[in-house]
Amino acid sequence: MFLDWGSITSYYGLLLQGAWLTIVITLASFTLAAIVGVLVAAARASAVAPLRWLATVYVEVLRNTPVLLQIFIVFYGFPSFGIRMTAITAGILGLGFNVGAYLAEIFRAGINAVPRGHREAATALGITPLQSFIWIVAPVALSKVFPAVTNMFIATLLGSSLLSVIAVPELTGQTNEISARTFLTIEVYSFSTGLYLVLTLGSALILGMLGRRLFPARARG
Amino acid sequence: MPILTLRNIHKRFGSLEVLAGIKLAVEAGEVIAIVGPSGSGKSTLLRVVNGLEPFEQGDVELDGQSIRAPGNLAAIRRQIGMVFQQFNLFSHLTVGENVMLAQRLVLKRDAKAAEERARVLLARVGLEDKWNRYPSQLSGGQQQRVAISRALAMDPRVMLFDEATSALDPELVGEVLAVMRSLADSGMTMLVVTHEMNFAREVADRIVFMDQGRILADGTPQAILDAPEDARIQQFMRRLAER
Amino acid sequence: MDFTPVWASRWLILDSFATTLTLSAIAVFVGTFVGACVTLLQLIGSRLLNVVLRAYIELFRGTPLLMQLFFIYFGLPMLGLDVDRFWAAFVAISLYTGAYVAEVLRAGVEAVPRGQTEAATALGLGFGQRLRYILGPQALRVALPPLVGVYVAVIKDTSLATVIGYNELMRRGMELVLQYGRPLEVFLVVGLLYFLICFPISKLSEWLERKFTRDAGGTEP
Repeated sequence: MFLDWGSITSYYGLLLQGAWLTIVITLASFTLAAIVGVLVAAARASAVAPLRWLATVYVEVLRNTPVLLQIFIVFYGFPSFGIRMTAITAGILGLGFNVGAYLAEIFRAGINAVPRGHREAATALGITPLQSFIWIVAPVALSKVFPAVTNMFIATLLGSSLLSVIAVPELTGQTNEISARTFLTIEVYSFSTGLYLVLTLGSALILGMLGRRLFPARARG
Repeated sequence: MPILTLRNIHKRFGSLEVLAGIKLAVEAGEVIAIVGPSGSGKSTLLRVVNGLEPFEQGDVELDGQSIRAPGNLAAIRRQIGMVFQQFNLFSHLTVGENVMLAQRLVLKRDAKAAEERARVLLARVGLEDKWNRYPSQLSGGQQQRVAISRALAMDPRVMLFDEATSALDPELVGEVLAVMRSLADSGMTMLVVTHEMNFAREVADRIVFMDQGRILADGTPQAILDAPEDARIQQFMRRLAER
Repeated sequence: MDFTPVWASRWLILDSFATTLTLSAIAVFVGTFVGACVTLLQLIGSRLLNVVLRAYIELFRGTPLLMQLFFIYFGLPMLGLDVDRFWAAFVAISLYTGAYVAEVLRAGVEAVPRGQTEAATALGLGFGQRLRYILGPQALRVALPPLVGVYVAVIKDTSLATVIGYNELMRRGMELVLQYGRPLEVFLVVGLLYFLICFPISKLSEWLERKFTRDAGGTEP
């Protein structure tokens, strides 16, 4: 077996570009997912029954079908309704909608974990429900589920590789491309595997530090 | 005119009538201890007073303003402070932030004014040095004193205490009762649900004895505690004495 | 909407669905076996072995399954190992599953209070006995609900085998789309099939979670 590490040096730039696109896609999808998650969690707690049902169906369908399929439906299926978009947009939407379903459930669990007394004390102090949610319920809930949210961020990062299937040149896409062109398969895949590990372990490290800073143990109930 | 009036309050949980026609008038500056066996509706009554608990019939009035009139609930809540059995401090906020939050959100005080007020109140309960601590770093007694400061920071006209010392270790009860006593001495109107009979006897102007959602007796501590007429009150006092 | 092409291909679709189920079942069994072995070896706890096992878990949980599939399918032949599509999919998904199973089992083991093992040791129980009568049953109660959750993820993730041309349900869907167009109809049917198998298993996981929480005397959130 002969590994030619020297020859792939000229492709580092392309692979790093791919990694950068992976980061951008991850951040965009996760932002979308957070918004979807908050809205769906709110809908599931709504007093309006049809809204609750709709949110439940959303969560169950998105969590029980493959995310790749969801991306395909957005990219290949939506044009049937006259909705056309680039592959990268479709991928971000598909991934974001999917992760949003998981985040909705995580947020819901977090809100349920906020002690009832917190809300009662707020009410007794004359704090309005909206203020109570923003200043008390949301931060306490987030502190309880921050590790789960961190896991979902990493799942989003890993899931972004699926965009390569619809020809988005993110890290996995670039890796396939270069591997097919150069036959330096082992070398290229090893390098990209290393990049992914840096990204996932790095995210875990940064988010872990952020979590300890935002929600120190002493500030948890 | 009484500052707080409860008019014939009825409340049901399903088929159970927890409050069966409560009538009570509280004069400004009065300290009323509400006692009685558990499940008699004492805590529910307190929660009705500041609108935490909906009720089917009757009315609560603060200064003649009905809690049922549109827009009044928020205004009345703002003027009634509440202290809970489980303290209910906000676990993600420091002591200082706990006392400042509602001042800023509800009374719209600026940060400086809110902090000033909070520091004065915390000093009064002997906790000014705990400003940057989180609730989890305090003893139960300290947490409850912070909770009292938090309620007082809203400059309430009436304070409600819902078994404020029941969740505390015995050695921590005294420090909280001392704060409540000095508050009573300062002229605050107080409704105190408690099992501390010595406190009720020494601090309260009136004792209200509740059983099964009704007020059985309402009078001076001496009348209720030393010479109770009702057999159920006598039985309750005997059980307390045996404990 | 026109489902005629889909209906005409119903046997092909069901045939691929069977392939997906077979691949899932094999991956679940082998993955569980691998994960259990890893956990056992970690319990025995030689330091060097633990480093290796930890590296395996981090590698497979820290990189996208897609990369693992490509690496194994395109990479192993470069090392002189001839792998066909089935073997590549089977090996990649099983190793990937094993890493997640190991992580779930480890969390289960860690949830058992230390005093349990100490008490058992003090009573003179050997390693095997402790595992079988004390540690195992308690750890499994904690680990079973998330373990079933991992199985749902595995079923959905077999859809990724499509990228190396393995003819499972997702691949069949794409082929039908290429042949007849009608992406929305095809993908809806494909999604329905995934849902039919994943939804009950998800519910089983949630039911187990509630049951064990209740049995443990805990309160439901």
